[in-house]
Amino acid sequence: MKIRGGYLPRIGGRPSRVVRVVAVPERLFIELCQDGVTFGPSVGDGDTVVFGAPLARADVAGGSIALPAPAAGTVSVEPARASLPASIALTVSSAEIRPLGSRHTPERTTADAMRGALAGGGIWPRIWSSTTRGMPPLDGSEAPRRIIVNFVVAEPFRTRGKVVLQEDWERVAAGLRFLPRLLAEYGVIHLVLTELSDPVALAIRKESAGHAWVHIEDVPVRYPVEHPRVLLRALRQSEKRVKPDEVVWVLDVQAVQAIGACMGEGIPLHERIVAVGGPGASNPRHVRVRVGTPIERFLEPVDSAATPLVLRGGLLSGRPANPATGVGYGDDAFFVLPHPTEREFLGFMNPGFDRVSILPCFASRLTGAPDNHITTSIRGERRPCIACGLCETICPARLLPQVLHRYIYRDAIDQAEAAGLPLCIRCGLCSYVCPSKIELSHEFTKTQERLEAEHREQAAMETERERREENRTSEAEHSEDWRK
Amino acid sequence: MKAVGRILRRCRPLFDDGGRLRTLWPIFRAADNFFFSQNEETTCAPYGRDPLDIKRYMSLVILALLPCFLASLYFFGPRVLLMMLVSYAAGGLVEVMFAVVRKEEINEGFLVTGFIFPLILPPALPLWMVAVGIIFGVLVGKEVFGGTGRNLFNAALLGRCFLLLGYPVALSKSWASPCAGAWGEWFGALPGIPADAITGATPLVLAKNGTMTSLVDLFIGRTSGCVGETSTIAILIGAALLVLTRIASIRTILGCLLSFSLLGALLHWAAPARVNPLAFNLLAGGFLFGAVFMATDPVTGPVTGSAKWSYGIIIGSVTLLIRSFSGYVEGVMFAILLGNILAPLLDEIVIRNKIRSYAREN
Repeated sequence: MKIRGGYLPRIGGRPSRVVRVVAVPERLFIELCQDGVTFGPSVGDGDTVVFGAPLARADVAGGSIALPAPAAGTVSVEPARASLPASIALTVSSAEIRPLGSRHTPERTTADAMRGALAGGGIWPRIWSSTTRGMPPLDGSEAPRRIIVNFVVAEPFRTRGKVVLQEDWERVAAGLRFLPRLLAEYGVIHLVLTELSDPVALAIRKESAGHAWVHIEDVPVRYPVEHPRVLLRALRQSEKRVKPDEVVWVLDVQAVQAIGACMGEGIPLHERIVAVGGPGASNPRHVRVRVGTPIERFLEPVDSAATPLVLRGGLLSGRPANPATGVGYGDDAFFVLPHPTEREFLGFMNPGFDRVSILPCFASRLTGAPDNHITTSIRGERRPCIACGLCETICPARLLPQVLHRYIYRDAIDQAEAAGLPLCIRCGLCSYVCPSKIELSHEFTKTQERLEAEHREQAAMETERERREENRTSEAEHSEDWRK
Repeated sequence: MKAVGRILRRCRPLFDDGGRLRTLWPIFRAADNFFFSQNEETTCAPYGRDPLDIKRYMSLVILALLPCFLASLYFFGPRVLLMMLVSYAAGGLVEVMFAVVRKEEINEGFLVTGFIFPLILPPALPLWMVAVGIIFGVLVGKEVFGGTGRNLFNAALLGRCFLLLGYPVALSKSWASPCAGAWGEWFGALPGIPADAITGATPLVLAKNGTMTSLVDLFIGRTSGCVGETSTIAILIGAALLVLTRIASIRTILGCLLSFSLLGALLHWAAPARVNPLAFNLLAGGFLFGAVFMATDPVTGPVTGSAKWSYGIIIGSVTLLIRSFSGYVEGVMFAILLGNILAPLLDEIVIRNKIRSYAREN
């Protein structure tokens, strides 16, 4: 499959393939807001829970999903405080992993049973559906014609597919055997890999040999290839048989691994393989952590004196995280970004052996050195757009960010909408590369939200008008009746 | 480095809020930013950024212009330096004045405009005309539209156009034959040039009268012409840098060169009496300089990538047509200004197509 645009910056602090297991701490913190869904606690202060018992529940389309307890222990519900979100604190009494309920076999499982197990096991939100652009409905009202399983993660630095495969090959393989249960009739599973000659690809090919419903696709390693909408678009463009209204689900390798564990062994989602990297991390590597482990337990920043910024997620899509909060059910990366220290003398004349740019304007292009210089600084001055066109070349949605910026600048948001603003996937690359340091991505997100709000308002007004119209006609009929 | 830092620190209170020189804050800010890079922190995602900034961008353009500047120093003597100083001083004054009035920062874009302007003027042009030209260019070409990034026309070219219309004789008679290193006399004649060096004709004028300059001279730059445009080899070095660093749009440059070459070859075959041979046409005059350094100005060119092809093609073919079939011997300046006018239209076409393709996709 081909990916339009995209970019992979060479950043220092790439996590090694070593996966260290982090011991389960005495207290786990499970946030009540995960993946944009707000859960209500189903336990009270002082309750004891066993491993896998639902800590909190949320109603979603077609059913309810749960957050399974990552360990057995005593619960206390913590309301939101100044810097900490509302969460459930779990004082761990036993870190033992005990299988819950029954094990399933791929051949004899029904889609209903599988949906129930995944919803209770905290895995359902890990599935992305093309119809809702988020979690698919739980009631089985949609069965995907295609499921894309993505093994390629390009963003610096999220857990790479290879690392998960090397750690949990068995579970991933089991997950792949269960997935067809969710498919519609004659559905297809697309496995997305980097290169078809790669040893991992060969092993997966061997695993799926003889299964006609498994297709293997290769993609270039360029951010944001892991974005579901980018994958979906690439699939639609590479295979003309994919109809525009076809339901497609996208899963990443850790979701498949969790499905394998949940269905095959009856173990709900309780731990994540997380990449800890970036120039601020002293020991960039992967860690296997229990969900809810406070981030500071495994962070190890380079310099303990100056607290670096910790991003939940990769460099480009990550958001600042409080190191006291716990690892979420969907987390797979923490990026440690130092703050700038001193101002560089004549920085623009620096040959740049240690900085990597999208344009070959620095000497690092010759040496291939990674960018160890990156900090939270915007690295330049804010200037008006000079139309250099970099944002256009990297935009994975094939938008014209510089044109959208001009529309938004003069508040022509209708024009911006017509010019494709709703197609923006918020990957953040345009802001990253802009030499004028314009906050393009932020601008687009804000305007998208504004447009959505406007549309909602308009729809509400429309229904209100219709209601009034109806009232008026019924009243008219009424008075007519009365007159008679 | 430390001394500069100390001076800046000491001066800061004067320009800060409540300081005596508060109104001149943009000047201080420009100096401060020039010596020490900014450490403003990101406030929204992505929290790290690419190291490329406008300063680096513009300094690479100036680096690419340096070979032309050095060649012009060699061929036209120390007067070029004087023209450069006048251009920077006069244009800088306008730029600073507007920055102070607008309370905005001084933009790096001016450094390129001020550098390029003397390079597109005849070497014997009176210095006051250099000042008038750059002042007009920066004022009307840029500041009136809102400064760098918002200007419709290339400021340097608009300044030159103004001079050509306002002082046509000076602009077409101030050529000098190159001195190539024998500077003694040229130093003595400052701020003018030695009387015997003044010549009335550039290779293109000579060609119109039937005398062809040798291609080797044109390639090296041993001819008369605008200060920076004569030496093809220096231009090629600059072009290589701009293309390798991808600062200049390869589409614009190729569009210019290909359309110029194709049309030039075709018309020369059809009307050899009016149209010069292609090789001569390419090397003589300011076409290459314009295509590499002026047409690729991102601000005044089209905004979208695909419109850059047609932009280049328009500039290349219009240059050739003006050169061959009008009263002017050189047309690259008008061609680029015309391209500037057409650029928004070309963008509009690209945007419409794009919108249509989105509609098809959904």
